[in-house]
Formats: sequence, C-alpha cells, structure tokens
Amino acid sequence: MKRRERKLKSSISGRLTLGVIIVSAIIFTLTCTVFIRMAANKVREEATRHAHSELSNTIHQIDAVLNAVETAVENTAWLVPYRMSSPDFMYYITERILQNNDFICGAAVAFEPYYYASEGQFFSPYSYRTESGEIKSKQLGHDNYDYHYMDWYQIPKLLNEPYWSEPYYDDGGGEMMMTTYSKPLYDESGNLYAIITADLSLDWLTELVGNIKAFDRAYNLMVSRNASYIVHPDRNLILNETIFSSTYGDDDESLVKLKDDMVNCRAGEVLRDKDGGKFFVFYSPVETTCWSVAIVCPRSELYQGVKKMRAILIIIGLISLLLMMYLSYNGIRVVVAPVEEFSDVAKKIADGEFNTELPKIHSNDELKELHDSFEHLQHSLVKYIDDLKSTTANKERIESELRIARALQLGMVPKVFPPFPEREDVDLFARVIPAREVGGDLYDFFIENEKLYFIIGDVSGKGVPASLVMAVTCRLFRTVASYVKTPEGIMTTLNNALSESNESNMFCTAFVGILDLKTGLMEYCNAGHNPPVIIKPEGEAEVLKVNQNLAMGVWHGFAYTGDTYHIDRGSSFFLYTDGISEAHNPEKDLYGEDRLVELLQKQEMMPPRTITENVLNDVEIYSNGAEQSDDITILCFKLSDQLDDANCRQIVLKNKVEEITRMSAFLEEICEELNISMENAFNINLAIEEAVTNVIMYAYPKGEEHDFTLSVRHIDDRLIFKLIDSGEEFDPTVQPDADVTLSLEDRPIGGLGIFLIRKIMKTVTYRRVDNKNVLTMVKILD
Amino acid sequence: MKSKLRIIISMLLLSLSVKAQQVVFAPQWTAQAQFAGYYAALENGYYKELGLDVCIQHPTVSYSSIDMLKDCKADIITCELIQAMMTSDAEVELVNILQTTQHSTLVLISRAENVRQLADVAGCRVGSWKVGFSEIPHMIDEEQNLDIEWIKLMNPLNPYIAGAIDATLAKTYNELIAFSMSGITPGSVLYFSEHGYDFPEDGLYVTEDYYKKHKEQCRLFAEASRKGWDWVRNNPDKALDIIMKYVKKENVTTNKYNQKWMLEALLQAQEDIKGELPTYRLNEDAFNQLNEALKKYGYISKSIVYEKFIGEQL
Repeated sequence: MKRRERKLKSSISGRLTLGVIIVSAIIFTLTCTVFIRMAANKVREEATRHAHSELSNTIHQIDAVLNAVETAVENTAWLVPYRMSSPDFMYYITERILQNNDFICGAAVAFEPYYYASEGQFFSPYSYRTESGEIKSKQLGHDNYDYHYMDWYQIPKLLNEPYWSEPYYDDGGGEMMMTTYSKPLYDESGNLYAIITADLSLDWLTELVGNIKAFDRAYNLMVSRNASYIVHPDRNLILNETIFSSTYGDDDESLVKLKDDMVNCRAGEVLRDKDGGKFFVFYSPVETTCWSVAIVCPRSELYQGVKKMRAILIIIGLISLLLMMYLSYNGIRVVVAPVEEFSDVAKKIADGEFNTELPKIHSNDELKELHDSFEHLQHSLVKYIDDLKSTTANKERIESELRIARALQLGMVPKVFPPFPEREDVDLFARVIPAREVGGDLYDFFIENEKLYFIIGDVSGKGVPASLVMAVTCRLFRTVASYVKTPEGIMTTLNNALSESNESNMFCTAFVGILDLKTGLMEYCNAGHNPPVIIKPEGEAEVLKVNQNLAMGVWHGFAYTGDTYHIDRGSSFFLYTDGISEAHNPEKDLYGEDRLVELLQKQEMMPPRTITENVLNDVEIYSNGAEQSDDITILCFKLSDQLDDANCRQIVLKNKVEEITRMSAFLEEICEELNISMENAFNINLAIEEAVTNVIMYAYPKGEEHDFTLSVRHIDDRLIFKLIDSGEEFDPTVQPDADVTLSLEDRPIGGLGIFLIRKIMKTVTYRRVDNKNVLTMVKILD
Repeated sequence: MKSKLRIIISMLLLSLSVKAQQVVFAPQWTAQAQFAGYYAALENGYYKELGLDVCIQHPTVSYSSIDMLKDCKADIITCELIQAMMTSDAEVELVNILQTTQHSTLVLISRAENVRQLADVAGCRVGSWKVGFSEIPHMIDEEQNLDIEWIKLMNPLNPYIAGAIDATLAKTYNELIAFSMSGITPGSVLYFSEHGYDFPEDGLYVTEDYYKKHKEQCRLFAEASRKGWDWVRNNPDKALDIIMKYVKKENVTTNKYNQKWMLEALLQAQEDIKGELPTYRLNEDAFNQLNEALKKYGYISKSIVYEKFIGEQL
C-alpha cells in the first residue's frame, strides 16, 4: 500500500500522468473557453438579427397605419380653405374624415383664437365616434380646454410642420389611448390659421407588439419619444412610467447608449441588469413617430443552448481527462515497470546478491541500455568485490603481522618499570609511542658491573623498514655493549654494522651512554641525535653539550668521538627523540626544544615516570588533536642522593622468634609515618614477617644467637626492604612456589612463604655479598 | 415650553368643543410629493389632534387654488411667494402662515451646452409656464433686453423633445426630473438660485379676512402641517406610500420613482442656506428684495409690509 502511495505521489508514472492531465486540462479549458465565447457571440449575433427582423416587420405594420392616417389628413386638408367662409362646413370636413377612414376615431380643424370673430376665442369643430360607432361632432375648445396650449396644436404650430403627438389617454372618450396627427394650415400669406388633426386609437398596438414572438421567455414593449411605456405586459406602467424611471440617478454605459439611441431614433441592443438578472434589450424605432419597439429577453434564454453545450463539453472533457489519466498512468507504468525491477535488482546487488538475475528487456531502447549498464555494473562489481576480498585478506594479514611485529618490537625494549626496583641509587623510566603500528625509535639499557649502559635512537623513516633497522640496532647494542666498553666504541661498531650493505640508505641517530652508578661519571657518544637534558637537583635544566657525530649507517668506518659528564646525585637525565621536539599543533607550529627545557626546569623533585608523563601530557595539549607525525620515545633516569639517609630506617634483629613483635612494631611505625593504607601495611607486614621468620628459623645453626639487619628505604613511590644476614647461603628466589591449586593436604611443606612475598612485592632479588645473604624486596606504593 | 403649553390648552379646549372646526385646504397643483407634509399630517391625524377637520381639495388646470381661496371654496392654500404677493397686491390680501420652501427651485434647461446665464439664450425660443412661476426670468429678460421668445406651455417636455423650443424654464422637483426620466440629457441646466435669485417659494396662505377671524385655527393648521413635514423628512419611504395613495386617488399620471425624487428635491429646497433643518419662516431679507424687484417691474403696485404679510407668526 505504501509503495502504491509512493507511486501515485512521487513515481515517474504519477508525475508524468499529472503533468499530462494538467496540460490537457489547460488546453481543454482554453479551447472550450474560446469555443464557447465564439459560440456565444454567434448566438448573440443571430439573436440580434432575429430580433431586429421581428421588430422590423412590426414597425412596418405600424408605419403603414400611421401613413394611412397621414394620407387621410392630407387628402382632406384641401377642403378647409375651399369653404373658409362657412365655419359650419368645417364640421362636414371632420365628419367626412371619419366616414372615409374607419381607423380614425376623431378629427378636428382647430382654428387660431378669434379667427372667426363670430365664433370667439375657441373654434375647433371636432368629430368622433361613439361607443356604438355613431359619428358625432362638437366644438372642442372652451375656457376649461384651451386647445391652443395642447401639444397637438402648439408643437406643429411652432415647428411649422405636421406632428404626431405623444400617446395620451383620451379625457373625453373613456380609457382609450390615442395619438393625434396634426397638420398646420396656412393662408396665402403664409400665416397659420388652423391645425387639422386626426386621432388614432392605439389599442391595436398592444396586440400587435405583444404578438411578437422572437424568443420564448422574452416580452415586448414600446415607448414613446418621451420614453413613456405605450405597450408593456404590466399595464399599470403604461403612460405612468418611463423606461428610465427606475434607473433615475444611474448612468451606466448601457443606459447612456440606450438614451442616446432612443432620443436619436436609432436601432440597437444593450445588456441590462434588472431584478437581479441580465436582460438583452433589442430596440428599433418607428420611422414615422420615433417611438421605439423593444424586445426584452433574459440572457439565460439566449445562451441556453450555449450553456447546454458548455455543460456537455465539460462532461466530455472530464470523462476524457479521467480516461486519459487512466490510460496514461497505466501506459507509463508498463513502460517504466522494468525501472522498478531494476530498482529492486539494485537493492539486491547493494545487499550483496551480485548475481541477481536482471529483468528481461526485449526492446532496443533506453531500457535496453539501462539493462546493459546494469549487466556491466554487475560484472564490474563481482570483479571489484573479488579484488577487494583479496586486498582485504592481504591487508588483514599485513595488519596481523604488523600487530605481531609491534608486540615483538615492544618486547625488544625493556618495558618493566621500575627496571631496577631493588636499586636505591637509580630509577629509570622509558616510553616509546610509535606513530604507526611499528616504529623506528629505540631505547635500551642494562646495568653491568654497577654501570648503566643505555641507548636511545631514531631510525630514519617510519613503519616496517625503520622498525627492522631499529630491531637490528637494539640487538646489536646489547651484543656490542657486552664487549666494547666505551660509548664511541659501541657507536663505531654499530655504525660499521649498519652501514654495511645499507642499500636502502637508512640511517639512525643515537645517543649511547655508560654511567658509572658509583661515581656519577657518564661517558657518552652522540650520533646526530637530539642532545639530552639534565635536570639538576636545584631545579635547573640544561641541554647536554655533545659532539655532533654523523648518524649511524651513513659513513662506514666513521670514527665517533665521545665525551664525559659528571652527573650529580639527585639529577635526572632526560633523553628523547625528535617525535617530541617536532610534535606540532594544527597550525603546524613545532613543540620545540625550548618549551621542553622550560617544562623540565620545574620537574627536579619528580620521579622519571612522572617527568615522562608530564612531558607527554604537555605534548598532547600542545598538539591539540593534531595527528602524531613521528614516533615518540623518552628515556629518563634519576640518580638518587645516597647521602640522604633521612629516608632510610634500620633495625637490628636477633634470630629469636620474639623479635617478630619488635619487627612488626617497627614496620607499623614506618607505615603510619608514610601514611600507607591499612591493606598495604597489612600485606607488607605479612611478606616481611615471612622473610624475617625464614632467617630466624633457618639461617643460623640452632642454639646460636646472631644479629641480622632489616633496612627500609623510601624512594619516590618505592619502599625498598633489605634483609642482610650472615647465615648460611640461601637464595629463596630460586625456590619453587607452592602449588596453590592443590588442596592443603596434598601441598608439600614450604614454598608458601616465598609465594606470598612474590605476590605482595614488586620484585624480590637475592645476592650473596661478602658472605652475607642480601634479600631485597621492593613494594610499589599506589 | 410655551408652545407645548399652548398645545395642551388648545387640546383641552378642543376636547370640550362638540364639533371639530372644518378647514378646506387646497394645494396649488394636482396630487404629488410637493404636498407630502399636508398628506402626512392628515393621514397621521396631526390636524385631528389639534381639533381640525381638514379636507384636501386639489384645483384643476383652469381653476387654481388662488381662485378657490378668492371664491371661499378653500380656507387655506399653498402658493408660491411671488403669486401670493401679486395676488395680495392686486386682488385679495393674503397672509403667510407657514413658509415651507426656502429656496428657489427654478432652472433653465437648454439644448445648448455652456449656458451660464439667461443672456446665453437671448433671442431663442424658451418655454415658460402658461400661468405664473416665470416672473423672475421675465424680469431679467426685460432688464437685460434679451429679446427671448417666451412660449407659454402646459408642459415643456414634448415641445422640447420635438425641437419646438430651444430651452425651457423648469422646476428642479418637477420638469427637471421628468426630463431625465424621459432619457433626455440636457446640454446645460442653469440654477437661478446660484445667480442671486434665490427666493423662497411654497408657503401656506389664507385671506386676511379669514386670518383675522381664525387666527388660532391658522396657527394650529400651520403647527400640524409643520409636524407633517418633519415626519416626512424623517420617514421618506413611508411618506412616498402616502403620496402614491393620493396620486392614485386623484388619478394623476406619474410613478413612484418620479415622486421619490420630487420629494427629495423639495426637502432639499426646504432646508436653510446652511443645510440645517427648515425654519418654516419667511426670510425677511429675501422678501424685501423680492418686494423691490416686483415693484420695479410693475408686478405689484406698492410695497407689501412684511409684518402684515406674515401675520402674527412667531
């Protein structure tokens, strides 16, 4: 379902379908709009033509009637001057008009005031039809009906031409709407003397205009020149309202056009808003009177067909779009289905199934190209993975070998510290940190005949080649130092050995020293190495002056020269490789010798281990995360001040069991002074008691009383216990440990004591000096 | 406060009288919005409240309201100030008991554009009314010797449409609206009120004799009529319904739109010059100015005394 959802929203088929549908919908909408608009215009044109055709027919009929009236008056008017002398003859004339013209309902000859002195101000013979059809005559004018001010009289008189009056309701003859045609009559001098008129009933107009059937829902109307309704479906409006009554105050565009056209007797059509709907008004003037006949048609009726057409088009369009959407979506899906299959295949390949079968493509198009590309990808991947496997295996093997090499290399240098725990005169600490798995730095040391032999060196380059040279150098140093007893001699021998068949041009800087632990005199030889730093007891640190000999391996047969230096007791000697001085921070600024010397100046009280750790910490802080670029090696030793016996306590014991209590009190006092933990104090007591008991019980023949000594010296973090007796030679360190895995019954007697001592003490050493047993035990404090 | 007291006293007196006093009132034309205040006062019972039994009788074309007053066929009439002054001078002395229209509604509708003064239609055919209302333009014509051919007409609309006249005098509330409703857009309309001829028009009049005999009745009639006009001003839509009722009753050819706009134009002409509510009192300065002009051009023979003309109006 999710996959389906994704497909609809974001799949190619979904998007393409959506795109096609949107474009199609836009094109369809535009086409429909243009088409509907054109159709609507055509419909309007056709409706206009049809309406005006209908109007024209009606107007012709109206004009025909009006022209007949005009003709009737024209044909009779000549009679008036013919018998001017006889006013009564005028009645004959008006009656004759009615007799000869059925459609005329009244006729008059209205004279100017006092035209006939005998007739007075008003003389207007008038004939009319009664309801029964009888023709009657009367004199029209009187005080209450001064016809001289009536439109039908006054307007033709002012215009000097015939005039059709605006329709009016006949006052005398009932509810009949009439119009009057008036023709002015002039005497020979051209002076107007009378107006001859004919009245025409307009009731027939209602039927004639009402019968126009241009459109089903249309209605028709007719207005006079002063815009009063003459014909309207609502009879209340006739002669009471004008077509502009309800719009008084408004003057929109269509109204202005309507007014202009009607006043100027022009045909036309406008679209009007009325009662919330829109109406087309088609109008045309009656030529004779300039009255206007109009057809009012709701726009909705005119455009009914167009609306229907639009609805059908929309339905067809929607169905087409839906069909198109269905077909295009499914069509595109069929086309892009292999792409989805390729997607699945790609996932499987990504999961490691490189031999997954590809979808079958039978066409020769872009999909075929995609198929071929996938096939190529598959082959490439298989090959690549095979290569990678092989490479990885090799790498793993090399890494494994390197791990072993590292272990071996680290095993080559002494790494048990303190290396001479039993020695009170010297303490030493060394540390090597290769930049890679294996490094080219080296150090070594050993004590022989109270002389400390030591070397620190740095083979050029890093990694495996350097490590091999380092291994050789280390091994050679031990071997050479066993028979060559001067530093320059050792260096020269090493140089000759290394430079021989040195095709790789590897070289090694080194500092070799031989320190007489008794005298503090140090002989040394420097082969291009960083000169060591001496930290004097008073806190001053200074760089040792050295002869700048060549590095080893460069020049076969080079004669190295040595030097001597007297190390005061309490001094520390700090040797290092350039991994310290050339350590850098992210800005590539070097750590430098000056910073090192400055740091070491404050370290005079510190044991070698602490000095080493402080320097390494400072380098790490300085590096601030920058990658270690070179191997780092430090070798530091300190000559203890033997004259200082403040740290040395001694007790002389007799070989009596009772002496154990005194010894315990002695130890307890020391532990309290040094603030040693309860647990350590208990363990120390246990171990020393074992050793002392051993001397009391077995060192001397039974019955003899002898003294023996237990001394305790505190140097830095070490407590050195020395038990000296003059008894029978006995080396407890060579005795086998008790097998603690056996049950108490099966365990042989003895061996448990020395086992305890070894467990508790860091080192236990035995020497026979001057016919005395010297057992040295060193406890490292936490 | 005083007037309220007087009304209460009158009411008390009236309630004691057995029969209400009958008054025949004749407006100066057939039923239309011009008389809306009086129709409203009658319909709302304002006259009756003050003890008046009012009967409205419209004149005919040939028998004017002044004729009715002279013949004692009407007790109280409406009349334009100029007609009232001329009648007072020549025939029977009249007393103005209420002045409703404070401003001139006279205009000149011209076919020509840019007519800004009467002189612009010098020598033209200009329609005027058959009776009255045209005195001011005639005076200007005479004074400026414009040689205008005045054509007296019953109604200028159709002659204007037919082209029989070049221009016509008209009233803002009547012919001007009718022209517009007939679809006519005049070339220009000249308002006389804007050219120094802003004289009061319609008012309520009685003969001096009648006034002397029925002062209280006149005052009460004026009071109720004023109340009627105030009501019309506040209720124009309801007033229109009352107008149409009278229009139909009198069988007048018109329509509600025509009457609506007529009423609006009239109410506007009732407001005083600052557009505030009507004072219902004849402005003395305008009266005296008109008095002088009418006398100068011989429309009246002697000056009319303002104080006498307005009776004892407060």
